[in-house]
Amino acid sequence: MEVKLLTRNFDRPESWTLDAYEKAGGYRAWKTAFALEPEALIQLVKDSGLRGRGGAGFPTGLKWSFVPKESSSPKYLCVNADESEPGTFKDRYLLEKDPHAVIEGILICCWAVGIHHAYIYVRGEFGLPLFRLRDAVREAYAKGYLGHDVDGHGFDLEVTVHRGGGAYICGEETGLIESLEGKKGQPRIKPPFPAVKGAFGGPTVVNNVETITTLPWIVEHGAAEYRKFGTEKSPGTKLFSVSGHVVRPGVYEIPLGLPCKELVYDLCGGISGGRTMKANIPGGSSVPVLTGAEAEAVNLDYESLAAAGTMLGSGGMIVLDDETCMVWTLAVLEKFYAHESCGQCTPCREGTGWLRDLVYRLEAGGGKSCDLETILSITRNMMGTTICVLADAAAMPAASFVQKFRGEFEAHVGAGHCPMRRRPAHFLTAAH
Amino acid sequence: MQPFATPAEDPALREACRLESMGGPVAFSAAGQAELERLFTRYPTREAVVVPALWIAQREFGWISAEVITLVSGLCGVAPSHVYGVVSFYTMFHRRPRGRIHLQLCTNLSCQLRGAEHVLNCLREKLGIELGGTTADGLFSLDEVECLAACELAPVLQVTETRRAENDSLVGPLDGEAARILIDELRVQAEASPAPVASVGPVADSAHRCPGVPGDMPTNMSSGGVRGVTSGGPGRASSGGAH
Ligand SMILES: Cc1cc2nc3c(=O)[nH]c(=O)nc-3n(C[C@H](O)[C@H](O)[C@H](O)COP(=O)(O)O)c2cc1C
Ligand code: SF4
Ligand code: FES
Repeated sequence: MEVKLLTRNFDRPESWTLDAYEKAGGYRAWKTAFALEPEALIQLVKDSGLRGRGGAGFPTGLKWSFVPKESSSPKYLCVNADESEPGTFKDRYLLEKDPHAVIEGILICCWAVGIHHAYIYVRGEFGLPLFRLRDAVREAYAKGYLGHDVDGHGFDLEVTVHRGGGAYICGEETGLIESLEGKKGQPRIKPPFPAVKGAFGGPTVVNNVETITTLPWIVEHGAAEYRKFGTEKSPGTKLFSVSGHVVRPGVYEIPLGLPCKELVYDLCGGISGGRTMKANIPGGSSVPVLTGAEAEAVNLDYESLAAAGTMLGSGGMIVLDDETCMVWTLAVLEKFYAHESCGQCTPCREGTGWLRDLVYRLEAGGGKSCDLETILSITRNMMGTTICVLADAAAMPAASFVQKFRGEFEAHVGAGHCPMRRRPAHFLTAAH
Repeated sequence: MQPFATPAEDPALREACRLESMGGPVAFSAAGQAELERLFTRYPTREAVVVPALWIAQREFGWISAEVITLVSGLCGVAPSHVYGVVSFYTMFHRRPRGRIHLQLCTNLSCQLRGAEHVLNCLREKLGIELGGTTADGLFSLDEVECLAACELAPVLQVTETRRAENDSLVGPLDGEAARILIDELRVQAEASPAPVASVGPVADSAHRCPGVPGDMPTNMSSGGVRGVTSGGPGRASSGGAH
């Protein structure tokens, strides 16, 4: 079952234009929000139960309430459009197909928190999403929805679209802030949290694109209506981007709590080529992997996925069929984390490289049986020991792959080559 | 663990520390300078404009040289070493001249699951270059890239004409044949539209240096067309989409 809250405008012709957005009732929710006191608006978002869609699932209204009302330095909103978690491509759709909903969400958030300048941090590789967003911001300024005295309400709001330079770590909220300030995107030690001291020294809200884009619907229809979707503890809908071995990869909006089976087999058309699901990475590449059987039994909400030992994360689901080699898969992932570690913390900088090298060697056939314990020991030393959780993001897949597919790892050691007879990938043969 | 190598001993390290010269000082075009001035009004510090300035520079000059770093450092009021640190931290700034069209093939998981390795081999063969290389005619450079947030189009390629504004497009899902056809099509299109003016030279030449924006978009870079749909490789329908 799909529902269309966030995706309600996706099928409209030229849905990304101001004209189409207004015809569809756009920029009305913002007027409703404006009629409310900021505190009442924050309460409304709290009541809706909306949780951050960027990966951590932190309650949005609560995050906003941490920002001091009075502040001597300017407050900022940073919309996180860095979308770089492998398997995640939902924000790209929102930016391409409904950029004005993002802008209206920004208006609502900034009114609630008392912010007069929002930056949208867009990953450097984005083409069309960036161009559409820039055009939409231009249109909104021209129409008086942004800038000085927005729509005659005496509220000023500047919105600046900022293009990143290409680095996964800039999706981490303090890495993003450092990067926005013109530096290397190396995360900061917390506390202080951004809500207290963030961009340019001011209190800062960092929210994911999907989180922000949900706001107009909540304001227009109310918290109770929103709670009619999803579960008690995971209210509302969530965009899942599904890729890998499914018949119809793509972005799907589902009520939280939907059985994973329904998403994979009904909406996505099942596993390609009539094969079976060997494994499922449900929330972006950083979350622990589920076996096919585990995935078929789980529901897609924060609590059910946590109970199954994994996470909802960004909702970037990667489906693996029964012909996939799990050692090879982990090699691809660990190559990514070793490439993206920002290098500040020893456990992460060294650990990601060691994990990559060990898994490469296993896949190439030169692994030893003690390597599996070494991998698990490295992951234990990476988790919870670093400035940001990229180290955990690299360690969790490694630990879960070895634990759940140990037989396959051992078979590589026993055979001295990959038993799935995968041709060596270029990165396994290239010097690194 | 190996002992630490110096850049002289280790090619990978040498590549990581690369910084080359354009042969003389450079300056932004009038349009680029105007864009930069507007940017300074959008941030509370000049330092925050370093990355946006580097984007303008890469569009105008094609790559980031020692002279570009000096230029940006002066304009943004930060040390050249700081600008260099930023340039080398991010993956998208070229520290050497690259081909006119930059091809970035995603080799992350969802693309690998659907045949990125095969597409990579076909591209290498068709272009006659390795990853990181540039064709002898200077038209194409090929790199691998991490997940492009376009996994429903896997295997997916990003095509960018570095010296033109706003033209990055995604092409996918690709197979070997589609990749070869794409290269042929891009070559035909590139030959039909002239390359941007060369950028290297002393400041006095800036008048006829890079016209910058707004250049015509290269025609129909992806089958979806200019700024078009980010899907649908040649002869292939997109299997993705929002449902
Ligand atoms: C390594 C790393 C990468 C991240 N990448 C992203 C990202 O691309 N987009 C995003 O919204 N959040 C990302 N996050 C989460 C952010 O730190 C932050 O929690 C989020 O943007 C907050 O917004 P939300 O509360 O609306 O989810 C990342 C976190 C880490 C540790
Ligand atoms: S955990 Fe890794 S990515 Fe995060 S700050 Fe430390 S070194 Fe950088
Ligand atoms: S893995 Fe290639 S675009 Fe995501």
